[in-house]
Amino acid sequence: MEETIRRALWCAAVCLSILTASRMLRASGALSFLPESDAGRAIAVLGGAGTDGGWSEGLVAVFAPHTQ
Amino acid sequence: MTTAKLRVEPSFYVFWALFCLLDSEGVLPLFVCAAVIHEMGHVLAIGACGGRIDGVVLSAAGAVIRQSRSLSPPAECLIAAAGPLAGAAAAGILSALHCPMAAGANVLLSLVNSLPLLPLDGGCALRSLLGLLPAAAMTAGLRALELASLLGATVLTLLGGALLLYTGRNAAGLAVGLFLLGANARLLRGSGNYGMIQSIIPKIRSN
Repeated sequence: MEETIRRALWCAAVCLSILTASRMLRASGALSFLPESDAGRAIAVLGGAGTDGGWSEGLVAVFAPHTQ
Repeated sequence: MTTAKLRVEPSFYVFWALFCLLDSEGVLPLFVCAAVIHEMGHVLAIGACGGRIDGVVLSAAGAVIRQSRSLSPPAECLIAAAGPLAGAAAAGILSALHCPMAAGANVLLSLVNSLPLLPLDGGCALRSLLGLLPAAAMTAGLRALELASLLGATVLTLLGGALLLYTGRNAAGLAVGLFLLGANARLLRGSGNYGMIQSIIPKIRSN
């Protein structure tokens, strides 16, 4: 059990380190060459599907080509 | 000496790092919460079906819960379906609580996992149901499922690539397709054994 907890803590520490490092790199602009993601807008549309109508149009709009 | 019940493969950290780098909107923590709800669904179903958890393996293919004893095909199917069902239930509750982002993460995770492709939950549920068929039909069904999984992962990769080219954004679809192909690497190496692929290869070579 102790070994399992030790591994879980080690995994959580590594994952948090990677997440923090990637956030810092993104904030510094070093990751500007990577494509942006629309996952946030997509899940907002999917999450609002139960309450708002036209979710399919919303998803199409999310994945439409960006002109800027 | 105690045996660890958690094993984390290096590919998991690669998978995590890739999604951290691609997460320009900071929604990854929502998906982590959705993944925990999803896995808790599996854990509860294993307990309800009388199963026993032997350990958890984290890899690029996601979390795999190993059981110490095999259960009946319907029970295995229920356990596989419990993850997406837990996600759908959580999405309903979160939507009612006016948390559309968290609800959407659960919906997306449940939808992707419900695809009838190995090693996703939909594919595992289908595979366990094939165990109810006579031996010959089960073998044929398993081969069809493996071939469908390979083709599905390839189509997802191509669609993800097309989406990235079309929008100039959204590399997550391509990443998911590639990781599904990676998770099916064993099937991919043996893909020459499939009759359909055997019939295609000579045509490609003659061209």
